[in-house]
Amino acid sequence: MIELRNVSKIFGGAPAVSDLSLTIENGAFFVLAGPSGCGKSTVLRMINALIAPDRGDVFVRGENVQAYDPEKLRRGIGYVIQSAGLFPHWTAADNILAVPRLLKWSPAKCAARLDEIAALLRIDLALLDRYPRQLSGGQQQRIGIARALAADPDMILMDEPFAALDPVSRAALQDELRGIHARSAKTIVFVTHDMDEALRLATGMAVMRNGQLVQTGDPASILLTPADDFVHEFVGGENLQLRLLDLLPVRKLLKPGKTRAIGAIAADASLKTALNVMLARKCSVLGVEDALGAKLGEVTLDDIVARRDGG
Amino acid sequence: MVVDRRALLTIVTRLSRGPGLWLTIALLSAMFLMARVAPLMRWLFPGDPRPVYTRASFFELTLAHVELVAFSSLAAAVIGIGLGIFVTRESGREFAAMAGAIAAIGQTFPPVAVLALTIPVLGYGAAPALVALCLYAIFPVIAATITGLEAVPSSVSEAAQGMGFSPRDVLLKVELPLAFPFILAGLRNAVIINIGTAAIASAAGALSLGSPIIEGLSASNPAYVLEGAAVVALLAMVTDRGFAWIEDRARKSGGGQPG
Repeated sequence: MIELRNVSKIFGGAPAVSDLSLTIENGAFFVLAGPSGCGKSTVLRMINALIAPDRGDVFVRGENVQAYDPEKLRRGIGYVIQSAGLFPHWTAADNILAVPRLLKWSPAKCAARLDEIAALLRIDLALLDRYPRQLSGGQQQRIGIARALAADPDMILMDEPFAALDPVSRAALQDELRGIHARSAKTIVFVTHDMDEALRLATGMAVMRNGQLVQTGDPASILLTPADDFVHEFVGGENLQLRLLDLLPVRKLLKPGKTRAIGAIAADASLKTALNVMLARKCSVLGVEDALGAKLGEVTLDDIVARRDGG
Repeated sequence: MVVDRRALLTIVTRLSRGPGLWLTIALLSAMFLMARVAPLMRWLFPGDPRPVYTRASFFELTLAHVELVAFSSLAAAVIGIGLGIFVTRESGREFAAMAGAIAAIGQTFPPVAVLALTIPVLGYGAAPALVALCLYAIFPVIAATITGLEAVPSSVSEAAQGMGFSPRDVLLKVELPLAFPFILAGLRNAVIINIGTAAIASAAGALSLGSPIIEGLSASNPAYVLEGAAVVALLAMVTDRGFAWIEDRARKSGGGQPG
């Protein structure tokens, strides 16, 4: 568990974070969202003690971070930053094994872990011997995530890790990350200014402005009941309804039974995708199938439009 | 015959590939075979009864010269890199301007003046020359170290710190290796300058390639000056080639420079 209690930080006379309190439960995929300069990165860096708060306390696993040996604390928390921050003079493999080697793992254990992590993140083994400058931005960030996961920490901090990537690489890495989170019990704290990204990944989120929390909750509730105009504007404004559809799986509106619909969509796809497919095919009903391709039933345009669950 | 010619061709192509080998051969010849150029000198400077410097062999002179340069540069490297590291740390940042100023004064202070000031304290010989050369060489090393360390992308050192590298690890495993090409370039500068400057050591009574030059100047024997200067120049060029080779190797090993 990560807990911030009445934390404040002032940079050059201007408050970056003011009297902020926040609790992040174990296993959460917690997204800190907000416009640039709202203090979200500062909050993140207080968790691994890269920044010490001027007032207030930060607790990680129940212990005040100021009481930790900072190196020991950080070796137990994965850390990914925007430009990956890979060591240019080390190969991808050496980069990935940075923390295990700091922790003095045996070479055999390191080698085994390297194989494991490469498989987990679908890293082509041929890339492991390359230097970062020989990798694309997406590949670099994949290595950056592998590096953060290498020592198998139970917490990972990510500071706009995908902001500099092209949309295709970004989507692929988002899926990868969501999958890794779902399969492990890891706590992820993720900073972004991209609302779509926040909604796609978060199990819990907080919206920040001017160094303060404006609203905390699960993504759907923030979308449905924004605390004020700022949050409303930030979480989507006019696009809000579409964003909400993006959060909901087709499964939610599934009508079981036989269907005469032509074409099918996966039950785990979002309603927004379903709407898109309907618009593209100029139809108002789609078959629904599970991951193995078995027919489950159908989803209709009317149901999407009339949907009144609110998440 | 055919084989011989081919072998000869290989040697010739290999020799012509870089000037390094030629220069080394020229330097070695100058060190060991200076006496052989007597006829040339006699022709260049007719009427000179002793056209080749013989008070010490050029091998001895070169060795003494190299020693002066090596020790002074080593000291400058240790001090310069150390200070460069210190002023780029959090705790030493406020001294950055001061270190820069001191290094710049060291550079602008003529080595001859340093000799004049240190001889009364250290006496005649190699010691005052070493001090003068070292002071002269610190500036390029400090400047290169600071440039190199500041060129390390902040994202890289931040990532290292955030992953739990100790400040010492960040420096030794990340910052210094990345700054190495810069530091090496500064060192190259310092050493080459020092090879030229070390000739003044003989003004303080130390043995160096400056000995024939200074004797040639005081005894109006330009042949001595030419001989000393030629070897100094060759030494500088060979050393420069050597540094180029090391830089090349460092680049190829993948270390250092972010692409």
